[in-house]
Amino acid sequence: MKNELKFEEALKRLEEIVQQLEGGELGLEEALKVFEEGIKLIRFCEKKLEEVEKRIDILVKEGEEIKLKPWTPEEESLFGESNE
Amino acid sequence: MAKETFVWTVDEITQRIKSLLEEDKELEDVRVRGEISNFSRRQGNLFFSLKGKESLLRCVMFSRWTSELDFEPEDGLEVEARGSIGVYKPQGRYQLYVMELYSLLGKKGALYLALERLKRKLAREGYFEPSRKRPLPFLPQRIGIVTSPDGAAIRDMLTVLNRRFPNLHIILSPCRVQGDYAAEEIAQALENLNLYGGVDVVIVGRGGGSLEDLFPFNEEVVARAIYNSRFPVISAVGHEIDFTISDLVADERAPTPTAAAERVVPKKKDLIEDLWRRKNRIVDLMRRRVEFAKNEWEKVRAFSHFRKPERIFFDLRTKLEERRRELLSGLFHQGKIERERIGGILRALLSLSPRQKLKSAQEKLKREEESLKSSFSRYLRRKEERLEGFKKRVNDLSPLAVLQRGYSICFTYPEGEIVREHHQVKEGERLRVKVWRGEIYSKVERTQGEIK
Repeated sequence: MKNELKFEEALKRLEEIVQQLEGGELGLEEALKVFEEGIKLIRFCEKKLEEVEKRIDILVKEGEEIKLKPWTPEEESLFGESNE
Repeated sequence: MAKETFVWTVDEITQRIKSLLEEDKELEDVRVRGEISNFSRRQGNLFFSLKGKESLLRCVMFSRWTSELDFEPEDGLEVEARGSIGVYKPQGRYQLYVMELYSLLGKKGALYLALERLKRKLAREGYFEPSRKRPLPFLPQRIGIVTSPDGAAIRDMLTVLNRRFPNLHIILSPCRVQGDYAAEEIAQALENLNLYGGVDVVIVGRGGGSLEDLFPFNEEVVARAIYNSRFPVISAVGHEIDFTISDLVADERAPTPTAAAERVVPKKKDLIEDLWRRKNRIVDLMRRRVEFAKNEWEKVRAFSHFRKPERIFFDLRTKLEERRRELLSGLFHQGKIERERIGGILRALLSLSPRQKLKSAQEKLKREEESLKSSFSRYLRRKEERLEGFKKRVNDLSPLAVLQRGYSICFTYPEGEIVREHHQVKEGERLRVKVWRGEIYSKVERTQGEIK
């Protein structure tokens, strides 16, 4: 299990940051720091959305081994859905 | 003809009833329909009653007839029993000796009952506890799907997933979704995904169908596989109304596979827009914060001497020049008072100025003070010189000093009038002449007017 920041957690922290900046209680330097953190988090989230490559695999078990093979659904058969 | 009054023994009358019933051809091989109640099983023999609207028929099915049973009899079941009516003398009771027993609900009814029984069992084992249900991840990027590789369900799910979030890694773990052994395949497919490990969430399901078609998702083996899955499972067995056991065990349930696909991933477009909005909000807030800070600073700087700090010294120098000039042409006191006043102004201004200007201000003040001091001392010296000059002149002008220079004063003798003009005296009159040292008594020989 990865220990890195999750998208959801980043969003939560962003919400906190907005509240802190809205509160107007931060000194200018602190506000800048928090602002930078916010921008960094936004970039992180934007990156995260693009992280995964589009892929469809089918899982195949060969003996004890589990393997993934690229897969696409078959075209609908001329005779309608297959009857299992 | 009078009937004989005959007293029966219990055995006799019971036997009579037994013969009556058991010799009746009609009651030799009967089929009776009713609802099972008071069911019990002892040593393989089944004992129960069949309930009618207003009557009850006791039944017994000996173990040697039960092997053909294709369902599990229990209270409440509508059944059809085939057997013969007999009398059990020791308990004075007539009963149906059952040889064949059929569930009237057919397979469906039996299935339904079996389902209820399984539900109760799994509930007891905590399979349906709300507390064990896990939340689905907010942004799963690897999705496992347990379903048939053929059919509309997988195609619909892929379409919906792709529409909502184009870049996903989808892993299909294929299995049959109806018929014999489908349940085992579904369970195995789910276990395989768990063995593989690389998913964030799993969709288990199939499209709509009859209750029989859906039945694999009601089987215990599937329930166990879902229960033991280390990834959150959403069950999507295409049945809008009813809940299958997999629906109840899973972490979440969707009415159809399409609905599951919609539930599982958010719309990427929405997420992007949301991030964009947040970014704008943060930037806007920050901009305002900076504006606020700028305004505060402007207020401070607006204090005229801070608009241009050099101005302090500009003004000071001008002031100092003016004062210096006044001193040179003016009086001593005024200078002193002015100096003190300037010092006071400087001190007040310096207390307001930024720290780094303070030092140079102080230096400047010192320099001006020095120059003031030196111009004062020059002034004083000049005054002294003038004073000396005065004294000298006064001295020179004093009568004694004049006499010392050789002048004399003439008095008339004895009147003692000072003689200034020649016609004050006549020939022969006496004069007393005062010189620097002593006096000379003399007579006028001759007078003469001014020589022009």
